[in-house]
Amino acid sequence: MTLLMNETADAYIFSMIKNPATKDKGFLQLMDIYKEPIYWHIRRLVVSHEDAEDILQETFIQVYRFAGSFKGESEIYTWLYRIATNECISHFRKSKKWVRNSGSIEKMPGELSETDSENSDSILVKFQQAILQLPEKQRIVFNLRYYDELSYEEIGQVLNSSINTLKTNYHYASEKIKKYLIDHA
Amino acid sequence: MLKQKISKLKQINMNENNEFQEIGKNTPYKVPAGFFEQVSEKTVLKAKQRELRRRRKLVLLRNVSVAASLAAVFLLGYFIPDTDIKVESKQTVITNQSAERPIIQNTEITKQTTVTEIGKTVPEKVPDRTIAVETNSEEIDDVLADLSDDELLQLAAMFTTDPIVSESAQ
Repeated sequence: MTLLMNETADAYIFSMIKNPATKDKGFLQLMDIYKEPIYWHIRRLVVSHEDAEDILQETFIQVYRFAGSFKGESEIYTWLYRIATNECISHFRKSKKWVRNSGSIEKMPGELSETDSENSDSILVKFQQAILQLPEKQRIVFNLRYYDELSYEEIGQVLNSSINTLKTNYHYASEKIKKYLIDHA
Repeated sequence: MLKQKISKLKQINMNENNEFQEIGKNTPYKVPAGFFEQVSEKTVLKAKQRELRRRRKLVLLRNVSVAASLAAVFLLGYFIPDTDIKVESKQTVITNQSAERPIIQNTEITKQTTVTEIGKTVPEKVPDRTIAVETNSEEIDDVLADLSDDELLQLAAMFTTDPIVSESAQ
């Protein structure tokens, strides 16, 4: 897993957040650790940077508000992923912008960094387009498993689903992606 | 080139761990420069503003609820004393009635007493009246005695000519 989840550090940061005197300091430390992976998780789901920024801020505002009520029954990062994922889902429902039909995917090659080669750009774009074709649940499961490298147990905590269901979702998602890449080659 | 990569993907019997190895974990998305440096400060500021607004809302809500409860108490107070007045007025009426009752009773008593007095006095008064009548006839006799003959003749003439006087005499 790319994230270095130090439970002791997390517990210390959370004790800081729960203390009104050190709340802001602890919160900034928590953001420094998790803002990037959470941002990329959101960004892969919503595509647009502006939407991803809003959702990231909203996610951490929720954390700032409800940090006192976090009981520590799950890991902090799974809690963060859960909040971020729920925010993304409510964003989809609110705006009804299911990005697979939007033009934002078409704009993606222009947003790629100049250092990337043209070929890798196209394959990455194709791969993202394949992911964006997936149904909501499969898409989230695939992203959490493939990019964030969460275990099925952790994804289960994020999505409140059973491991078998998640495995099935991932299997269907990867099959669909492969098919899409072959069809659009 | 892309086709070759995809055909490779087809050939490889991918398990979950090495699936899409050719593609890797990168994404084509780009982030504006300095975004991650600024986002933390922005978020803390926003969170604090939100918290402040929420507290203000809570204070406002509390004030509104206090005002509403006071208004409710005032309204209740407006209606409840009204019913109290009604009750009081009823009570006053009752008390007045109860206060009047003795008066009525007294009047009844007085009436009774007067009736009884009358009842008692009626037989006593009859002799008074007879006495009065008797005294009146004596007076008339005295008056007649004092009259002259001419006056008596005139009076007799009046007695015979005046029907009312003659009827009352009969």
